[in-house]
Amino acid sequence: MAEQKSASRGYYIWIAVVVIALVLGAWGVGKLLIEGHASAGTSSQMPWGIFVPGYIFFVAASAGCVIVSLGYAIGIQKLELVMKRAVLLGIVTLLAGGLLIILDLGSPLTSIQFMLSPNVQSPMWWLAIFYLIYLILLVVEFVLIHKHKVKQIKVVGVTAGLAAIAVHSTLGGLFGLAAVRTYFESAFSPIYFILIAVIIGTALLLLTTIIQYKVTKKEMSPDLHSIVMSLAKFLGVMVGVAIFFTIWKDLTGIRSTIDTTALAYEHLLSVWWYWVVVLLMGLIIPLFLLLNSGTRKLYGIVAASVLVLIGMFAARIEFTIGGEIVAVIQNLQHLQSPLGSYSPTFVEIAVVIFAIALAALLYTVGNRKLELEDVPRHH
Amino acid sequence: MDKSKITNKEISRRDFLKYGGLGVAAAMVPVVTSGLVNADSGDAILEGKRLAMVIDLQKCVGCGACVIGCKNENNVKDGIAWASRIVRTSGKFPNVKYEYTPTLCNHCWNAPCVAGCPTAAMHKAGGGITMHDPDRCIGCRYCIINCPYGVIHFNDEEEHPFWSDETHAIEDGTPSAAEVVEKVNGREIPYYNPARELSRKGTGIRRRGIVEKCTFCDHRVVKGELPYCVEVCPANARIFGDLDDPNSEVNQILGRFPAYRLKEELGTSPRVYYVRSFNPGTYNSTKGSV
Repeated sequence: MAEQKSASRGYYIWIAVVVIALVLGAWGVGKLLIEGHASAGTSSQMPWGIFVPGYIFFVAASAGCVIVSLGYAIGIQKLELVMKRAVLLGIVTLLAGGLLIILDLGSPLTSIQFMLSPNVQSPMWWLAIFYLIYLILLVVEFVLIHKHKVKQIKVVGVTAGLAAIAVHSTLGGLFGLAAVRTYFESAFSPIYFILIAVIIGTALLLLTTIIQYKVTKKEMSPDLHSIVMSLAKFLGVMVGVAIFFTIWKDLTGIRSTIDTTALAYEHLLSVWWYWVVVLLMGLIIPLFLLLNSGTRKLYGIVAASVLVLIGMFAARIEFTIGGEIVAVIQNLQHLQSPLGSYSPTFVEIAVVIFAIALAALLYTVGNRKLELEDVPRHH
Repeated sequence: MDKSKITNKEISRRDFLKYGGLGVAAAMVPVVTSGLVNADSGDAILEGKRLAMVIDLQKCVGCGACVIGCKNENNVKDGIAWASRIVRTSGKFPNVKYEYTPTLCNHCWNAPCVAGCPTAAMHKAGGGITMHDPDRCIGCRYCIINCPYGVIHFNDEEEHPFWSDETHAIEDGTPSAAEVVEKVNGREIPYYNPARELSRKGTGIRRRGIVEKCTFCDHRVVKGELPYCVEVCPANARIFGDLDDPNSEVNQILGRFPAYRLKEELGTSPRVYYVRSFNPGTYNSTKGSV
């Protein structure tokens, strides 16, 4: 049992930053609830702004963390050292994402219709169902880990891992099955989403694990250090796979004979932040930091993880906007042709900050109270 | 120690069955209630009809009466247009051409908006109309993502906010919208078409947070009237009818003239057909040159 640590000054500063972000974000949430989407930069032409990419990012983080802990259930024993943290991260990011998507709905109070009037053909319906099942499984798994119920952990861990795959691949399928949006339509979209989820989740897990030991100035056990290094190498390899995917995806897109797709990719590849933030910061620099043994030290891994998280958040925005930006019919009078325009308003940015701050606060409190370094052992 | 282990296992198995059973029962709710879909009033009247529209591009003069008339009839707010048009000028002088193509919801048989809607708010109703149920809409806008024609619109503002506007078009000259409302005894919306609501509650004026689109004027069609855009076209360029009636005017036209539909290759099977074309120009009879 870990002793209750006395809080350091740094901890209080962190809490203050998170609470300030929460308050600023609450302004955005309030404005959104009162004025509706008129206070957002979205339109009928480009209906999804930064909330949907934010939701994708959070669900990816959650699924990624839990898929990593699935490794424990299938026999990678050393993952038990990070499992509790991974599952808590899975819960708090899932909740933040859920809040974000509920705020994105124009009429969330009608959500009961998911149960009363389901459309089983809709990937969005399945997404909602899997999301709920997954959330329940995660909470159950965390309670079991907290109570050291080792036998049940493996069973629930596998189920939760499968639920994570189900949720996030369905989220990919939401886009992949939008058959008329050729930018989105792809059989590989669900698989690609899982890859990105593993990347985001592993990065988040590494970041929070290493920071926890750095701020408490504790030494990592050799086993923990070893699993952190393994996860860092694993993340590096996954980032490499993502680079490979990205190159072919962008090549195929720019060579497409379908105007909407080609135009969208042309625009995408002409935007500076795609190259700098998504590719360079999000993928290429982390690849070198993680796979080069000289930089694969704890600080290097932290830097790589931060860059990956920022880059992948931007990548989700690029993905969502990219599919909406080309007018579906050129010269259709009520649409902006050839490309629509969207930029997030302060309200939207504030709401996303609120969601991030909420996840941060929940994680920080959970980290302090729930002994995340604990390892489930037989009693 | 051993006994309590067995008891624990038994309890958890019992618990599992109990909660599992409850879970299955809960899962049955949507399966059962999905059969109780809220039927449109038009479903029975329009049973067996396959409604479609033909737009004759030779007759169409591009006046836009269909666009405005639709807004009038359906209380469509500022910034949204259920009926629209593709306007394109292409070529280099003197070889320039101008194309004007009126558009509206195509009421696709294979509607991607219907396939994707999680709560079946977008659904196929009587006569094959792709209908929207405001009571079920959660405002997710997935239908807009799925629609290849850009005909679905999202209400992000309160209904007709224009009527509380206090700006004057000409200071000390024209009244502001708020002043006009006051003059007509404070009714928030001086004129709206109440008949729009008759076929389905909530469709008269769509509330904030849901989507809306053309419904082939289902509130008129169930009474045997033509959609308003068809009625209001001064050139009779829009022809409405039942594809399942071999003698309907739409079938007569489609039988005689080659027709195209927008983005046919996507397989959405639209029900708005375009025939003929208009061009007053001519060219000298020639065989060309190498």
